[in-house]
Amino acid sequence: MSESSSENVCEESVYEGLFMKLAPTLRNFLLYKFRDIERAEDIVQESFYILWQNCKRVTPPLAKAYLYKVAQNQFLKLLDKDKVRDKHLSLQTDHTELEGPEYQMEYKELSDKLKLAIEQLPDGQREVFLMNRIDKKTYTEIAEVLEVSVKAVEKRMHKALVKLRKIIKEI
Amino acid sequence: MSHWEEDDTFLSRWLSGELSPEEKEAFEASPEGKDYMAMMGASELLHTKEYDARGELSKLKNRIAEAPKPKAKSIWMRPAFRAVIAASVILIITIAYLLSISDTTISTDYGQQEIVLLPDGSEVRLNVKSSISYNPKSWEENRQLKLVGEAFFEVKKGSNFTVETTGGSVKVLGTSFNVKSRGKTLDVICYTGKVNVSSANLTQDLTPGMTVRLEQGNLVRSEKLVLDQTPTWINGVTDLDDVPFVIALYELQNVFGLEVEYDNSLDTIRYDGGFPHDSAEGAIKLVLKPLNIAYDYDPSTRKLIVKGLNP
Repeated sequence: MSESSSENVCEESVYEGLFMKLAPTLRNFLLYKFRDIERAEDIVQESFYILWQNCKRVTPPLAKAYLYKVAQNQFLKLLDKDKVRDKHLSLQTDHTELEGPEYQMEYKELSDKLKLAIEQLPDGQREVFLMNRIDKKTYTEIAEVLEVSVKAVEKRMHKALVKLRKIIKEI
Repeated sequence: MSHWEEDDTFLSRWLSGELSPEEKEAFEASPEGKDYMAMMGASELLHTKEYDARGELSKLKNRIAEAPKPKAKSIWMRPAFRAVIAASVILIITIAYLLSISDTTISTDYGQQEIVLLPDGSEVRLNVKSSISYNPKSWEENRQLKLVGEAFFEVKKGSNFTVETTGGSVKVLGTSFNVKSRGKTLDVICYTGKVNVSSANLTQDLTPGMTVRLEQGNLVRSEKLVLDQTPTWINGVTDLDDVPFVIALYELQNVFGLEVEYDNSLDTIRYDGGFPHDSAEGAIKLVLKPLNIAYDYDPSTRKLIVKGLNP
Protein backbone atom coordinates (compact mmCIF):
# COMPACT_ATOMS: atom_id res chain seq x y z
CA MET A 1 0.00 0.00 0.00
CA SER A 2 2.98 2.32 0.10
CA GLU A 3 2.26 4.97 -2.48
CA SER A 4 5.77 6.23 -2.86
CA SER A 5 7.14 2.91 -4.07
CA SER A 6 4.67 2.52 -6.94
CA GLU A 7 4.91 4.53 -10.12
CA ASN A 8 2.56 7.42 -10.53
CA VAL A 9 0.41 8.00 -13.62
CA CYS A 10 0.85 11.76 -13.10
CA GLU A 11 4.52 11.34 -13.89
CA GLU A 12 5.05 12.31 -17.49
CA SER A 13 7.24 9.36 -18.43
CA VAL A 14 4.80 6.86 -16.93
CA TYR A 15 1.86 8.54 -18.62
CA GLU A 16 3.59 8.64 -22.00
CA GLY A 17 4.63 5.01 -21.63
CA LEU A 18 1.01 4.05 -20.97
CA PHE A 19 -0.10 5.98 -24.03
CA MET A 20 2.41 4.37 -26.36
CA LYS A 21 1.57 0.93 -25.01
CA LEU A 22 -2.19 1.14 -24.73
CA ALA A 23 -3.41 3.74 -27.23
CA PRO A 24 -2.93 1.68 -30.43
CA THR A 25 -4.88 -1.34 -29.20
CA LEU A 26 -7.51 0.82 -27.50
CA ARG A 27 -8.04 2.61 -30.79
CA ASN A 28 -8.40 -0.69 -32.64
CA PHE A 29 -10.77 -2.03 -30.02
CA LEU A 30 -13.02 1.03 -30.39
CA LEU A 31 -12.81 0.73 -34.15
CA TYR A 32 -13.90 -2.93 -34.09
CA LYS A 33 -16.70 -2.19 -31.72
CA PHE A 34 -18.12 0.97 -33.23
CA ARG A 35 -16.71 0.99 -36.77
CA ASP A 36 -15.80 4.66 -36.95
CA ILE A 37 -12.07 5.24 -37.15
CA GLU A 38 -12.07 9.01 -36.70
CA ARG A 39 -14.29 8.90 -33.70
CA ALA A 40 -12.28 6.01 -32.26
CA GLU A 41 -9.16 8.18 -32.34
CA ASP A 42 -10.98 11.16 -30.86
CA ILE A 43 -12.16 8.99 -28.02
CA VAL A 44 -8.67 7.65 -27.36
CA GLN A 45 -7.64 11.30 -26.94
CA GLU A 46 -10.58 12.01 -24.67
CA SER A 47 -10.03 8.91 -22.55
CA PHE A 48 -6.35 9.63 -21.99
CA TYR A 49 -7.22 13.23 -21.20
CA ILE A 50 -9.64 12.02 -18.53
CA LEU A 51 -6.99 9.62 -17.26
CA TRP A 52 -4.63 12.59 -16.90
CA GLN A 53 -7.18 14.55 -14.92
CA ASN A 54 -7.58 11.58 -12.58
CA CYS A 55 -3.94 10.51 -12.59
CA LYS A 56 -3.65 10.77 -8.83
CA ARG A 57 -6.41 8.25 -8.27
CA VAL A 58 -5.53 5.68 -10.91
CA THR A 59 -2.46 3.53 -10.40
CA PRO A 60 -0.61 2.21 -13.48
CA PRO A 61 -1.86 -1.40 -13.11
CA LEU A 62 -5.44 -0.12 -13.10
CA ALA A 63 -4.96 2.32 -15.94
CA LYS A 64 -5.84 -0.13 -18.71
CA ALA A 65 -9.17 -1.21 -17.27
CA TYR A 66 -9.93 2.42 -16.43
CA LEU A 67 -9.23 3.58 -19.98
CA TYR A 68 -11.36 0.89 -21.60
CA LYS A 69 -14.23 1.72 -19.32
CA VAL A 70 -13.98 5.47 -19.89
CA ALA A 71 -13.58 4.99 -23.65
CA GLN A 72 -16.66 2.82 -23.98
CA ASN A 73 -18.70 5.22 -21.88
CA GLN A 74 -17.58 8.09 -24.07
CA PHE A 75 -18.58 6.21 -27.17
CA LEU A 76 -21.96 5.25 -25.81
CA LYS A 77 -22.58 8.87 -24.87
CA LEU A 78 -21.94 9.84 -28.49
CA LEU A 79 -24.15 7.03 -29.76
CA ASP A 80 -27.02 8.49 -27.77
CA LYS A 81 -26.48 11.88 -29.33
CA ASP A 82 -26.22 10.99 -32.99
CA LYS A 83 -25.66 8.16 -35.36
CA VAL A 84 -22.18 6.82 -35.83
CA ARG A 85 -20.98 8.23 -39.13
CA ASP A 86 -18.75 5.68 -40.77
CA LYS A 87 -19.79 2.11 -40.06
CA HIS A 88 -16.74 0.74 -41.79
CA LEU A 89 -13.70 -0.92 -40.35
CA SER A 90 -11.46 0.43 -43.14
CA LEU A 91 -9.31 -2.69 -42.90
CA GLN A 92 -6.32 -2.86 -45.19
CA THR A 93 -4.53 -5.74 -46.87
CA ASP A 94 -0.81 -6.13 -46.62
CA HIS A 95 0.65 -7.64 -49.80
CA THR A 96 4.29 -7.52 -48.93
CA GLU A 97 4.32 -10.36 -46.43
CA LEU A 98 3.73 -13.11 -48.97
CA GLU A 99 6.42 -14.88 -50.90
CA GLY A 100 5.37 -16.39 -54.26
CA PRO A 101 3.10 -14.54 -56.73
CA GLU A 102 0.67 -17.47 -57.18
CA TYR A 103 0.27 -17.63 -53.46
CA GLN A 104 -0.31 -13.91 -53.38
CA MET A 105 -3.15 -13.95 -55.92
CA GLU A 106 -5.00 -16.65 -54.06
CA TYR A 107 -4.63 -15.01 -50.67
CA LYS A 108 -5.39 -11.54 -51.95
CA GLU A 109 -8.73 -12.63 -53.33
CA LEU A 110 -9.53 -14.49 -50.17
CA SER A 111 -8.53 -11.67 -47.88
CA ASP A 112 -10.73 -9.23 -49.85
CA LYS A 113 -13.64 -11.58 -49.34
CA LEU A 114 -12.71 -11.96 -45.71
CA LYS A 115 -12.81 -8.18 -45.26
CA LEU A 116 -16.36 -8.07 -46.59
CA ALA A 117 -17.37 -11.04 -44.46
CA ILE A 118 -15.97 -9.50 -41.27
CA GLU A 119 -18.13 -6.41 -41.79
CA GLN A 120 -21.18 -8.70 -41.68
CA LEU A 121 -20.32 -10.42 -38.41
CA PRO A 122 -22.37 -9.61 -35.32
CA ASP A 123 -20.61 -7.07 -33.06
CA GLY A 124 -19.62 -9.51 -30.34
CA GLN A 125 -18.03 -11.97 -32.75
CA ARG A 126 -16.33 -9.31 -34.84
CA GLU A 127 -14.50 -7.67 -31.96
CA VAL A 128 -13.27 -11.00 -30.60
CA PHE A 129 -12.11 -12.17 -34.03
CA LEU A 130 -10.22 -8.95 -34.83
CA MET A 131 -8.64 -8.52 -31.41
CA ASN A 132 -7.29 -12.03 -31.71
CA ARG A 133 -6.25 -11.92 -35.38
CA ILE A 134 -4.99 -8.35 -35.74
CA ASP A 135 -3.90 -7.34 -32.25
CA LYS A 136 -2.80 -10.89 -31.36
CA LYS A 137 -4.62 -10.81 -28.04
CA THR A 138 -5.11 -14.09 -26.22
CA TYR A 139 -8.60 -15.22 -25.27
CA THR A 140 -7.81 -14.41 -21.65
CA GLU A 141 -6.81 -10.85 -22.51
CA ILE A 142 -9.92 -10.37 -24.61
CA ALA A 143 -12.09 -11.76 -21.82
CA GLU A 144 -10.61 -9.20 -19.41
CA VAL A 145 -11.33 -6.27 -21.70
CA LEU A 146 -14.87 -7.40 -22.53
CA GLU A 147 -15.54 -8.49 -18.95
CA VAL A 148 -16.85 -11.90 -20.00
CA SER A 149 -15.58 -15.43 -19.32
CA VAL A 150 -12.80 -17.00 -21.38
CA LYS A 151 -15.28 -19.68 -22.39
CA ALA A 152 -17.61 -17.02 -23.81
CA VAL A 153 -14.75 -15.58 -25.85
CA GLU A 154 -13.90 -19.03 -27.21
CA LYS A 155 -17.51 -19.58 -28.19
CA ARG A 156 -17.69 -16.27 -29.97
CA MET A 157 -14.48 -16.98 -31.82
CA HIS A 158 -15.69 -20.39 -32.93
CA LYS A 159 -18.98 -18.93 -34.12
CA ALA A 160 -17.16 -16.13 -35.93
CA LEU A 161 -15.06 -18.62 -37.90
CA VAL A 162 -18.04 -20.77 -38.85
CA LYS A 163 -19.96 -17.70 -39.95
CA LEU A 164 -17.07 -16.25 -41.93
CA ARG A 165 -16.58 -19.46 -43.86
CA LYS A 166 -20.27 -19.55 -44.68
CA ILE A 167 -20.33 -15.93 -45.88
CA ILE A 168 -17.21 -16.38 -47.99
CA LYS A 169 -18.67 -19.45 -49.67
CA GLU A 170 -21.68 -17.38 -50.70
CA ILE A 171 -19.71 -14.49 -52.17
CA MET B 1 -14.42 -34.88 -37.48
CA SER B 2 -18.09 -34.55 -36.87
CA HIS B 3 -17.42 -33.75 -33.26
CA TRP B 4 -16.18 -30.24 -34.01
CA GLU B 5 -19.64 -29.27 -35.16
CA GLU B 6 -21.06 -30.12 -31.78
CA ASP B 7 -18.15 -28.65 -29.85
CA ASP B 8 -18.77 -24.90 -29.73
CA THR B 9 -15.17 -23.95 -28.93
CA PHE B 10 -13.39 -26.37 -31.25
CA LEU B 11 -12.18 -23.82 -33.80
CA SER B 12 -11.00 -21.48 -31.04
CA ARG B 13 -8.91 -24.20 -29.50
CA TRP B 14 -7.58 -25.20 -32.91
CA LEU B 15 -6.41 -21.59 -33.48
CA SER B 16 -4.76 -21.27 -30.09
CA GLY B 17 -3.03 -24.63 -30.48
CA GLU B 18 -4.93 -26.40 -27.72
CA LEU B 19 -6.01 -29.45 -29.75
CA SER B 20 -4.23 -32.76 -29.38
CA PRO B 21 -1.86 -33.59 -32.28
CA GLU B 22 -4.25 -36.27 -33.56
CA GLU B 23 -7.26 -33.96 -33.49
CA LYS B 24 -5.29 -31.24 -35.21
CA GLU B 25 -3.97 -33.48 -37.97
CA ALA B 26 -7.36 -35.00 -38.72
CA PHE B 27 -9.01 -31.57 -38.81
CA GLU B 28 -6.42 -29.92 -41.04
CA ALA B 29 -6.64 -32.81 -43.54
CA SER B 30 -10.41 -32.41 -43.92
CA PRO B 31 -11.92 -30.11 -46.62
CA GLU B 32 -13.37 -27.82 -43.95
CA GLY B 33 -10.03 -27.74 -42.20
CA LYS B 34 -8.36 -26.63 -45.43
CA ASP B 35 -10.91 -23.83 -45.85
CA TYR B 36 -10.23 -22.57 -42.35
CA MET B 37 -6.47 -22.76 -42.81
CA ALA B 38 -6.70 -20.66 -45.98
CA MET B 39 -8.99 -18.21 -44.20
CA MET B 40 -6.57 -17.80 -41.32
CA GLY B 41 -3.69 -17.39 -43.76
CA ALA B 42 -5.60 -14.61 -45.48
CA SER B 43 -6.44 -13.01 -42.14
CA GLU B 44 -2.73 -12.59 -41.47
CA LEU B 45 -2.68 -10.01 -44.25
CA LEU B 46 -5.33 -7.82 -42.69
CA HIS B 47 -4.50 -4.83 -40.60
CA THR B 48 -6.12 -1.60 -39.54
CA LYS B 49 -5.15 1.79 -40.90
CA GLU B 50 -1.86 2.82 -39.38
CA TYR B 51 -2.12 4.64 -36.07
CA ASP B 52 0.19 7.59 -35.54
CA ALA B 53 0.76 7.08 -31.82
CA ARG B 54 3.54 9.70 -31.54
CA GLY B 55 1.46 12.30 -33.35
CA GLU B 56 -1.60 11.53 -31.26
CA LEU B 57 0.45 11.76 -28.08
CA SER B 58 1.81 15.17 -28.94
CA LYS B 59 -1.72 16.34 -29.79
CA LEU B 60 -2.81 15.13 -26.37
CA LYS B 61 0.10 16.81 -24.64
CA ASN B 62 -0.76 20.11 -26.28
CA ARG B 63 -4.26 19.78 -24.96
CA ILE B 64 -3.02 19.00 -21.45
CA ALA B 65 -0.63 21.94 -21.59
CA GLU B 66 -3.55 24.29 -21.98
CA ALA B 67 -4.61 24.66 -18.37
CA PRO B 68 -7.92 22.98 -17.68
CA LYS B 69 -10.50 25.59 -16.91
CA PRO B 70 -13.44 24.88 -14.64
CA LYS B 71 -16.72 24.86 -16.48
CA ALA B 72 -18.91 27.90 -16.08
CA LYS B 73 -22.35 27.20 -14.75
CA SER B 74 -25.37 28.89 -16.19
CA ILE B 75 -25.94 31.39 -13.45
CA TRP B 76 -25.68 34.32 -15.79
CA MET B 77 -29.25 35.39 -15.80
CA ARG B 78 -29.88 35.56 -12.09
CA PRO B 79 -30.45 39.21 -11.06
CA ALA B 80 -27.79 39.08 -8.38
CA PHE B 81 -25.28 38.09 -10.99
CA ARG B 82 -26.15 41.00 -13.22
CA ALA B 83 -24.97 43.28 -10.44
CA VAL B 84 -21.83 41.21 -10.06
CA ILE B 85 -21.18 41.44 -13.80
CA ALA B 86 -21.70 45.19 -13.80
CA ALA B 87 -19.28 45.54 -10.90
CA SER B 88 -16.78 43.31 -12.67
CA VAL B 89 -16.92 45.38 -15.83
CA ILE B 90 -16.20 48.53 -13.84
CA LEU B 91 -13.35 46.77 -12.06
CA ILE B 92 -11.83 45.56 -15.33
CA ILE B 93 -12.00 49.05 -16.84
CA THR B 94 -10.36 50.47 -13.71
CA ILE B 95 -7.57 47.88 -13.83
CA ALA B 96 -7.02 48.53 -17.53
CA TYR B 97 -6.72 52.25 -16.80
CA LEU B 98 -4.31 51.69 -13.94
CA LEU B 99 -2.22 49.41 -16.12
CA SER B 100 -2.06 52.02 -18.85
CA ILE B 101 -0.60 54.62 -16.50
CA SER B 102 1.63 52.19 -14.62
CA ASP B 103 5.11 50.93 -15.43
CA THR B 104 6.20 48.28 -17.86
CA THR B 105 8.59 45.78 -16.28
CA ILE B 106 10.87 43.40 -18.11
CA SER B 107 12.85 40.88 -16.11
CA THR B 108 15.19 37.99 -16.77
CA ASP B 109 15.59 34.78 -14.82
CA TYR B 110 18.69 32.77 -13.91
CA GLY B 111 20.86 32.21 -16.98
CA GLN B 112 18.62 34.31 -19.20
CA GLN B 113 19.54 37.50 -21.08
CA GLU B 114 17.17 39.77 -22.95
CA ILE B 115 17.37 42.65 -25.41
CA VAL B 116 14.76 45.36 -24.80
CA LEU B 117 13.96 48.10 -27.28
CA LEU B 118 12.70 51.25 -25.59
CA PRO B 119 10.06 53.50 -27.21
CA ASP B 120 12.70 56.00 -28.46
CA GLY B 121 14.82 53.28 -30.09
CA SER B 122 17.36 53.06 -27.29
CA GLU B 123 18.46 49.53 -26.60
CA VAL B 124 18.90 47.74 -23.27
CA ARG B 125 20.61 44.41 -22.93
CA LEU B 126 19.52 42.85 -19.67
CA ASN B 127 21.94 40.46 -18.03
CA VAL B 128 20.83 37.42 -16.01
CA LYS B 129 18.42 37.84 -13.06
CA SER B 130 17.83 41.54 -13.70
CA SER B 131 14.89 43.78 -14.43
CA ILE B 132 14.04 47.20 -15.74
CA SER B 133 10.81 49.12 -15.42
CA TYR B 134 9.66 52.30 -17.08
CA ASN B 135 6.51 54.13 -18.00
CA PRO B 136 5.85 53.87 -21.73
CA LYS B 137 3.24 56.67 -21.64
CA SER B 138 5.58 59.36 -20.39
CA TRP B 139 8.72 57.97 -22.00
CA GLU B 140 9.04 60.67 -24.69
CA GLU B 141 9.09 63.50 -22.12
CA ASN B 142 10.91 61.67 -19.39
CA ARG B 143 13.44 58.99 -20.30
CA GLN B 144 13.78 57.46 -16.89
CA LEU B 145 13.92 53.81 -15.89
CA LYS B 146 14.60 51.73 -12.82
CA LEU B 147 17.20 48.97 -12.95
CA VAL B 148 17.70 46.04 -10.63
CA GLY B 149 20.74 43.97 -11.56
CA GLU B 150 22.90 44.58 -14.61
CA ALA B 151 22.29 46.01 -18.05
CA PHE B 152 24.16 47.50 -20.98
CA PHE B 153 22.58 50.61 -22.51
CA GLU B 154 22.91 52.01 -25.98
CA VAL B 155 21.07 55.29 -25.81
CA LYS B 156 19.77 57.26 -28.77
CA LYS B 157 20.61 60.96 -28.72
CA GLY B 158 17.93 63.12 -27.17
CA SER B 159 16.83 64.46 -23.82
CA ASN B 160 18.25 63.22 -20.53
CA PHE B 161 18.24 59.49 -20.05
CA THR B 162 18.33 58.37 -16.44
CA VAL B 163 18.87 54.96 -14.91
CA GLU B 164 17.80 54.75 -11.28
CA THR B 165 19.27 52.05 -9.04
CA THR B 166 19.29 51.53 -5.31
CA GLY B 167 22.94 52.61 -5.19
CA GLY B 168 22.63 55.82 -7.19
CA SER B 169 21.51 57.11 -10.55
CA VAL B 170 23.21 57.32 -13.92
CA LYS B 171 22.40 60.16 -16.30
CA VAL B 172 23.42 60.45 -19.95
CA LEU B 173 22.70 62.28 -23.18
CA GLY B 174 23.53 59.74 -25.86
CA THR B 175 25.98 56.99 -25.20
CA SER B 176 26.56 53.36 -24.35
CA PHE B 177 27.29 52.22 -20.86
CA ASN B 178 26.99 49.30 -18.50
CA VAL B 179 25.26 49.55 -15.14
CA LYS B 180 25.56 46.81 -12.59
CA SER B 181 23.67 47.12 -9.37
CA ARG B 182 23.97 44.00 -7.25
CA GLY B 183 23.45 44.17 -3.53
CA LYS B 184 24.90 47.42 -2.22
CA THR B 185 27.46 47.74 -5.01
CA LEU B 186 26.97 49.86 -8.10
CA ASP B 187 29.42 49.51 -11.00
CA VAL B 188 29.17 51.82 -13.99
CA ILE B 189 31.36 51.57 -17.08
CA CYS B 190 31.14 54.15 -19.83
CA TYR B 191 31.75 52.81 -23.36
CA THR B 192 30.99 55.81 -25.57
CA GLY B 193 29.80 59.39 -24.98
CA LYS B 194 29.54 60.83 -21.52
CA VAL B 195 27.88 59.49 -18.39
CA ASN B 196 27.10 61.12 -15.11
CA VAL B 197 26.90 59.00 -11.97
CA SER B 198 25.39 60.49 -8.86
CA SER B 199 24.38 59.40 -5.40
CA ALA B 200 23.50 61.24 -2.23
CA ASN B 201 27.21 61.79 -1.54
CA LEU B 202 28.80 62.45 -4.90
CA THR B 203 28.44 63.21 -8.56
CA GLN B 204 30.98 62.19 -11.17
CA ASP B 205 31.27 62.35 -14.96
CA LEU B 206 32.63 59.36 -16.84
CA THR B 207 34.29 59.49 -20.25
CA PRO B 208 34.76 56.42 -22.49
CA GLY B 209 36.77 53.68 -20.78
CA MET B 210 36.12 55.01 -17.30
CA THR B 211 34.56 52.97 -14.57
CA VAL B 212 33.40 53.77 -11.05
CA ARG B 213 32.29 51.60 -8.21
CA LEU B 214 30.01 52.85 -5.48
CA GLU B 215 29.39 50.95 -2.30
CA GLN B 216 26.43 52.22 -0.32
CA GLY B 217 26.60 55.47 -2.24
CA ASN B 218 30.31 56.11 -1.57
CA LEU B 219 32.98 56.03 -4.22
CA VAL B 220 35.35 53.12 -3.64
CA ARG B 221 37.04 52.95 -7.03
CA SER B 222 37.44 55.03 -10.13
CA GLU B 223 39.73 54.02 -12.96
CA LYS B 224 40.37 53.97 -16.67
CA LEU B 225 40.04 50.58 -18.42
CA VAL B 226 40.98 49.26 -21.82
CA LEU B 227 37.60 48.22 -23.17
CA ASP B 228 35.98 46.27 -25.95
CA GLN B 229 32.97 47.71 -27.75
CA THR B 230 30.55 45.97 -25.39
CA PRO B 231 30.76 44.30 -21.98
CA THR B 232 31.97 40.70 -21.97
CA TRP B 233 28.72 39.26 -20.50
CA ILE B 234 26.93 40.03 -23.76
CA ASN B 235 29.17 37.42 -25.39
CA GLY B 236 28.64 34.91 -22.61
CA VAL B 237 31.52 35.67 -20.27
CA THR B 238 31.11 37.17 -16.82
CA ASP B 239 34.02 39.38 -15.87
CA LEU B 240 34.48 40.08 -12.18
CA ASP B 241 36.84 42.80 -11.15
CA ASP B 242 38.06 42.49 -7.57
CA VAL B 243 34.70 41.69 -5.98
CA PRO B 244 33.89 40.13 -2.58
CA PHE B 245 33.67 36.33 -2.80
CA VAL B 246 29.96 36.41 -2.06
CA ILE B 247 29.37 38.53 -5.18
CA ALA B 248 31.22 35.97 -7.30
CA LEU B 249 28.95 33.26 -5.85
CA TYR B 250 25.95 35.44 -6.53
CA GLU B 251 26.98 35.83 -10.17
CA LEU B 252 27.44 32.07 -10.56
CA GLN B 253 24.02 31.57 -9.08
CA ASN B 254 22.45 34.10 -11.45
CA VAL B 255 24.02 32.72 -14.59
CA PHE B 256 23.48 29.02 -13.91
CA GLY B 257 20.45 29.04 -11.63
CA LEU B 258 22.34 27.29 -8.86
CA GLU B 259 21.17 26.59 -5.39
CA VAL B 260 24.05 27.78 -3.21
CA GLU B 261 24.74 26.79 0.37
CA TYR B 262 27.18 29.22 1.94
CA ASP B 263 27.57 30.42 5.51
CA ASN B 264 29.23 33.83 4.84
CA SER B 265 32.42 32.69 6.59
CA LEU B 266 34.61 33.68 3.64
CA ASP B 267 33.53 37.31 3.38
CA THR B 268 37.03 38.72 3.45
CA ILE B 269 38.12 36.85 0.34
CA ARG B 270 37.97 38.80 -2.90
CA TYR B 271 37.76 37.46 -6.42
CA ASP B 272 39.28 38.85 -9.56
CA GLY B 273 38.66 36.98 -12.79
CA GLY B 274 35.91 35.68 -14.99
CA PHE B 275 34.00 32.63 -16.17
CA PRO B 276 32.25 31.61 -19.43
CA HIS B 277 28.52 30.75 -19.36
CA ASP B 278 28.72 27.42 -21.13
CA SER B 279 29.29 25.04 -18.23
CA ALA B 280 28.29 25.41 -14.59
CA GLU B 281 30.80 22.83 -13.45
CA GLY B 282 33.65 24.48 -15.34
CA ALA B 283 32.74 27.94 -14.12
CA ILE B 284 32.52 26.87 -10.47
CA LYS B 285 35.91 25.25 -10.73
CA LEU B 286 37.35 28.33 -12.39
CA VAL B 287 36.19 30.60 -9.57
CA LEU B 288 36.62 28.43 -6.48
CA LYS B 289 39.79 26.47 -7.27
CA PRO B 290 42.16 29.49 -7.48
CA LEU B 291 40.73 30.77 -4.22
CA ASN B 292 41.57 27.42 -2.62
CA ILE B 293 37.98 26.91 -1.47
CA ALA B 294 36.60 23.40 -0.96
CA TYR B 295 33.14 22.67 -2.36
CA ASP B 296 30.67 20.02 -3.48
CA TYR B 297 28.69 20.39 -6.67
CA ASP B 298 25.89 18.09 -7.82
CA PRO B 299 25.05 18.76 -11.51
CA SER B 300 21.73 16.90 -11.34
CA THR B 301 20.29 19.15 -8.62
CA ARG B 302 22.47 22.16 -9.45
CA LYS B 303 23.34 22.45 -5.80
CA LEU B 304 26.63 24.01 -4.78
CA ILE B 305 27.83 23.56 -1.23
CA VAL B 306 30.70 25.84 -0.23
CA LYS B 307 32.64 24.11 2.53
CA GLY B 308 35.39 26.55 3.39
CA LEU B 309 39.07 27.03 2.80
CA ASN B 310 41.21 23.98 2.04
CA PRO B 311 43.62 23.28 4.89
